[in-house]
Order: sequence, then structure tokens, then C-alpha cells
Amino acid sequence: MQIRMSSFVRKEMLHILRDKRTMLVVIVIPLMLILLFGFTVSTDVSNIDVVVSAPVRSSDVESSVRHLASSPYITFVGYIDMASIDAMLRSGKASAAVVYAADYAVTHDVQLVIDGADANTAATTNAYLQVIIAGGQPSPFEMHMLYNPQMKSSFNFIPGIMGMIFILICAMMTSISIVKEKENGTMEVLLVSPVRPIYIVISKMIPYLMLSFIDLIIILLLAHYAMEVPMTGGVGGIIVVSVVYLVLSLTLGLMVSNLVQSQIAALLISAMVMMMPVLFFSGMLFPIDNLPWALRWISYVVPARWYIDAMRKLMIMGVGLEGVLLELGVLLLETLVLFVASVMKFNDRLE
Amino acid sequence: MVKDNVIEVCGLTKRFGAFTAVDGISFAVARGEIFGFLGANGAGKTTAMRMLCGLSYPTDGRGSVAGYDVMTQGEQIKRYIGYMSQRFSLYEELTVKENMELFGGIYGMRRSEIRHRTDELLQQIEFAAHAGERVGRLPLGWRQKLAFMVAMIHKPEIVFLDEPTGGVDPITRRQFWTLIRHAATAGTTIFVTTHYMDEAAFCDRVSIMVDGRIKALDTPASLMQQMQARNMNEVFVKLCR
Amino acid sequence: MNNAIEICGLSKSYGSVNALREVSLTVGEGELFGLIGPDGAGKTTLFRILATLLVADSGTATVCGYDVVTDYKRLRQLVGYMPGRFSLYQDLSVEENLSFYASIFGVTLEENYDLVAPIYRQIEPFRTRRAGMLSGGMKQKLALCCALIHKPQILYLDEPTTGVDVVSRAELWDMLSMLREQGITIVASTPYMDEGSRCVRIALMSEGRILEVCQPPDNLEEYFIERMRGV
Repeated sequence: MQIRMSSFVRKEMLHILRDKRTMLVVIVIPLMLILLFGFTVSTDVSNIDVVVSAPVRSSDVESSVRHLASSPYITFVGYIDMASIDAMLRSGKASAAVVYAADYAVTHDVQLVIDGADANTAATTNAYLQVIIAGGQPSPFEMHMLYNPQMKSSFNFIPGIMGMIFILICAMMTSISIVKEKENGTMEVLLVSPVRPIYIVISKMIPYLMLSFIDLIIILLLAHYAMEVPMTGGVGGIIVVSVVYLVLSLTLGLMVSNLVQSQIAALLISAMVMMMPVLFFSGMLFPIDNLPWALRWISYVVPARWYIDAMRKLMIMGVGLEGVLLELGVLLLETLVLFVASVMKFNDRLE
Repeated sequence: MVKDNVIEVCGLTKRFGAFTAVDGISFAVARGEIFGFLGANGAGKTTAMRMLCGLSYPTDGRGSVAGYDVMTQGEQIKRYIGYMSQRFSLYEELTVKENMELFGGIYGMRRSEIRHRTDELLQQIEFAAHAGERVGRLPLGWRQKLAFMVAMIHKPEIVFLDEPTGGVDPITRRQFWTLIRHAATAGTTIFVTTHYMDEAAFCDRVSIMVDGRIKALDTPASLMQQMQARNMNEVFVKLCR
Repeated sequence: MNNAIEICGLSKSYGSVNALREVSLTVGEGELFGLIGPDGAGKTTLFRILATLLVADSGTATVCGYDVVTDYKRLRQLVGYMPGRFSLYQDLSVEENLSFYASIFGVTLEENYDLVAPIYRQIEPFRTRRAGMLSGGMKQKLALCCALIHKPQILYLDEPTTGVDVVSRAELWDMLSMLREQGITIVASTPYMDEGSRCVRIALMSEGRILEVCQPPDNLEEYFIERMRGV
């Protein structure tokens, strides 16, 4: 069986190397996603145009405004009177206004008026302004952000992108390549041969496992050296959890290829049934705690959710492997269940 | 046009890079003729047929189909030809009648005209009673006959048939050729490719392509005589070997 | 003569479509047997059952003495199968295809070269060419080599000549006759009536039934039409 497995793997590598599109998906897309999300797309808010309204421009007010204007996130537009705040926001000349109370020197009362058309930006603006203004005055709160002090959104995205890319490569590409053999009729010949069908499938997984491992290394290097993701917990844990997740994704791909007969169906199922949940339930875009309870329960079975959680802890919080034992356990369990199910489901006949 | 030729081709050539798929072919097909276009796999039949249907531009040479230039008037050509291949024939989820309506509509026919023509064609194949059935539920033989009728819906001057009888049973195959003969008698030119050599004998004239060139072009009877062969099969084998 | 294949009352349906209805048939050892019939006659379904890829709804079949359902693992060592639309890897070269198919049967191209040599020599000059770039006739030869590389006792060919030109078709039947002389039992299907004459015996199939099993008559097409009308 040794010879057979290696010749299978060799054949699979040839398929991949000779198909430019596969190479594109495997190498270029992960790089593109990481660079795109890491450097350009971000939920960070900068250059907030702020106007200030202060009936009494006391020295306290002026010192607070100076502090505000010096923040890199703020562009100070100027002083205006109360009545024109609405016009300024409406025309888009400012996205927030800070109104100082007449007795600011005594009460330290400040009102924030924020353009709420884009709720996400508004929330971030609100948070920033509060922190900045609080920093310029005596306050009962002292803010201290742990783990991601600059609140860089790329830190948050990287684990999410990893969760997505590995589903893409492992699940989608494997299922497509298995189903392709069904479409071309080569599967018929393979099934009629004495090779145990499960070997066919496992040897299909190996090249994709290798490729995604290469991707993993590239992503980790980029994340650490280009994006300065700390990873203080050590790389070992990250790799262990990732490899489990890779195997899990491959098994998902195997599952899909058992169920469908055409490459298009494999593609659609992989994209809709496996990629979408990664986006929705993994906490990559919205916090899981905001989901309705039914969806939150669904998120517990989405492997990406556990993987991304574990990656956040390992890469950003800097805990070691011992800090993600729950996540690792869930992923291992799911891998086992899926693997047994798809091997049992695997058909050594055509129907 | 000297005679009433609906297809005239002179030195038609198609190159893909260094590879010459069709190498300067010349021939003419008269109105109402059944023209068999034969050749080995990869001899360039499909490429040649694509150029005649206005789907691909020749690299060199001239040609006219239904009076229009294959180089510049591909869109006009498409209006006056019908096309049927073994692979794509009809929409399986639509009924017989809906398919007819669809293709009639594509060729810009009026509704009343389509209805009239549908009745006429279905009567010809004695299938009027099944006009409301979905094509996907019909046996293959019927589908092929229907596909031919649909290709005829807009009364084209020429119908291109690409292996129309592949895999159908012998009875249907004969019926199919009766339909072809009928259409030709009514003045439609038939341009047909096939792998069945007995069908080649039913054609008025036959051309045989080898490596991008037309190696023989004549009536089946005189080809057999020239090659001293008993049937078209032998003619083909002798020419291609 | 021993029987290589014994089929008794095989039926198979897909939903409401009856692909095979009560088919019974025997094929002798070393015979070149033809399944003749149009598309939808049930030829492919019959092959898939005999190749252990499908399980019939009812009826039994044994190949080389092994039951196609219970002994399928042993049978898979003995059978060579060439499905319709040659199943080759288009992006692999001629040589890579052949080596790969050899490896899944646990043999190598070198040790079984003699088996396929008469056919393989014709395509060997193109051994580094991708299978997708071959002409129909060459694909057919390569697919046949791939089905033969493990020295099967019995060879199934599902419509090996469909879509292939007359010259390549004649060559294929010459090769099959040669293989038969080496003692391989061959079952081949075809929709072309004129190819029936190349077989020792033929079964005429239509709509899931076997109309008749006979030696090929002189004008098979006429004969077939009569038999179809007779049913």
C-alpha cells in the first residue's frame, strides 16, 4: 500500500501544480486577504472631524480642546455656536460635536453629539471621544486596554481570516477535486480497482494538508513581522491547534464530496454552508454575544468559532496551549465525529 | 452567385498559433442539397462548421453563407441558419411547445406565426398530442427529432446538424433521415456531420476532411467507384489511412 | 466451455425509470461479446452492476465464479473496466496516466509492459503529451491500455467507439480481437449496429430488455428493427 499511496499523492500534486487556478486560490488569495484586511480594510476610525461649541471659553475648556485637537484620531474643525451643530453634521463637514457646559470649569459636564448614520463608526467615535476627553480632565475612570492597547482591528481579523482560508483550501478544494473525479468518470475506474476507497480519499487530503500548512506558515510570518501581532504565547500552540483545524476542514470537504455529484454543487455547498457560518458565527464580524440565543447555540457547533477563539487567545492574548484546552478539545472531538461519519458514509459503489 | 449556391467557400483557413486547424478548404453547397461533412476526429470539422455558422472568424480565405460574408456578416448569417447538435438540443424543463415558443421568439417570429409553425412541424412528426409534455420526460429518440424540428422553426435556409443521430435507435435513425429528406425537398439545405457511414450514403454529396483539408468531395456513388470500395466505410478508411 | 459471466433475472430501476428489466445472460470464457442497443437501452447500468459499482434491485450475477455483490472485493482484482467517455486524467501525460493506473492495481508499467505493448507502442511517441491534447483515437488507445495494465481476466468496455471516427473504430475492434486470442473475456457495448459483426455473439438490447442473444446476422440493422417492432 506504501507505493500506491505515494503515487496517489504524486498524481494529486501534479493536478495542483498544473492547474493555474488552483495555485491562485491556494497561494494568492490567502496572501491577498491577509494584506487586504491587515493593512487597508479596518474598522478603526481615524480623522474624526470634530467641532466644538462652548458658551464660555474658559481656560479649562481651552485646555481640554487643545488636548482633543492633539489626538491623532481627531481633526479639530473649529468653534461654532450651538445652533449650527445640526447644519455642520448634516452637511458632513463634521461627524461629531463636543458641547462644553457653561459651568464646565466646575461640573466638567460635556455633551457629545455624533452623526449616527453609520452605527458602527458612531459607536467607535463615541468611545474614542470619551476616552480622549476623559484623558484631559480629572476623571474617576482610568482606562487601560489589555492585549490590544492600540485597538488595532487587524489583530481581530487575522484569526478570522485564518479560519476562513483553511476552510476554503481544505474543505472546498478537496471536495471539488474529489467530485471532479466523479464528473470525469475516473472515480468509476478507481472504485473498480482493488484500492480501498478510503485510501483514495486520504491520499487526496495529504497534498492539500501540505499546501495549507505552507499557507499557515506564510500567514504567521506576515502577521508577526508585518503586522506586529505579538504571539507571546509561543508558536507551538498555534501550530498544534491549526493542524487540528486543518484536518477538521479536510474532513468537512470529504463529507461534502460524499453528498454531491457535481463540482458546482460542491462549490456552492462549501461556500454557503461552510464559509458563511465562519463569517457570521465566528465573532469575526459581530460579537457572538450579540446574536439571538438560537443562533448563538448554532455557533457552538461551528468549528471556526472555536478555532478563531483559540487563535485570538494564542496570538493576541499571548496565552500558551494550556489556555485553550477547551477549544482544542472541542475541535478534536468534532474532527473525530466527522471523520468516523464520513468514512462510514463513504461509498465504495456508485450509489 | 453563379448557381443557386447557399454556401460558397474559397480557401477558408483557420490557424490557432502555429497549428492550422482548417487549411484552405473550398467547396459550394447548392440550395436543397444534403451535404455530408465527414472527417476523422480532429480533422477540423468542428472548426470549419463554427466559421460557417458565424461563430468564429476565418484567419484567411473567403466564404458566404445564405448570401452573407462569413468574415463580416456573422450576425446576419445566424438569422438564416438553424443549428442542432447532439449535445445541446432542447431545454429539458420546458414543454415541447414552450421550447418552440422560446426558439421562435429568439428568431423574432410573431406569436401567431410561431403557433402556426409549431402545429405544422409537430404534425409532420405526428407528435401534436404531446405538445404539452416536458422534454426531459421524453425518450431520447423523440428529443432528437424535436430538436431538429425546433432548428427548423424559423424556416432557415440552411440547417447545420452536428452528429444528430448519435446513440439513437435504428428505427428513429431512419425516421430522422426521412425528416431530413423531406426538409431538403422543401428547399432547405442540410449540412450534416455523422460517424455513421451508412448515413453518409444518404447524402447527395459528401466531403471528407483529413488533417484540415478536404481530401475528397463527390456523390457517394462516384466516391465508391473512384476508390473501388463497396461502401462508404471503405471509402473513409482508405482516404484516412 | 465455462461461463465467465452468468446473469439471472437482473432488474434495476432509478426512481420510476426501469433501466434493466429481468435481464438474463451468459457469456462464455474467452468470448468477445457485444451488447448492442441505442442510448437508454440499459447497457451502462448492466456494466456497472457487473463491475460491482451498482447493486441490482433483484436478480443475481456472477463473474468468474464470484458473486458481484458479496465477493466484490475479490472481483475488483480480476476486472478491467473502461467506462464511456474515456476516464483519463486530462492534465496528466500519457505515461503518467498509465503509471498511475498501474500503481492502483499494485503493478508497474515496466513489469506489465508486454501486455499492453502492441497497443501502447502506437501512442508511445506521444508519451509526454497531456491526455487532454490527444485525438479521440489516441485517447481510446490510452484508455484501453489503462484498463489492461493489470492483466484482467475479463474486460468491460462501455461504448468504446462512441464519438470516434471510423478508422479508429476499426482499429479498436482489431485490438479487441487480438486480446481475445490472448484469452481475455471481453464484453463491449456499442450503439453502432455495423460493429456487431465483430463479436462472437451479441445481445440486442432495447429499453432495459434483452431482445435476443444470437450470433451477429448479416444485416444487423434490419434484424434489430424487426426485433424492435416485434416486441
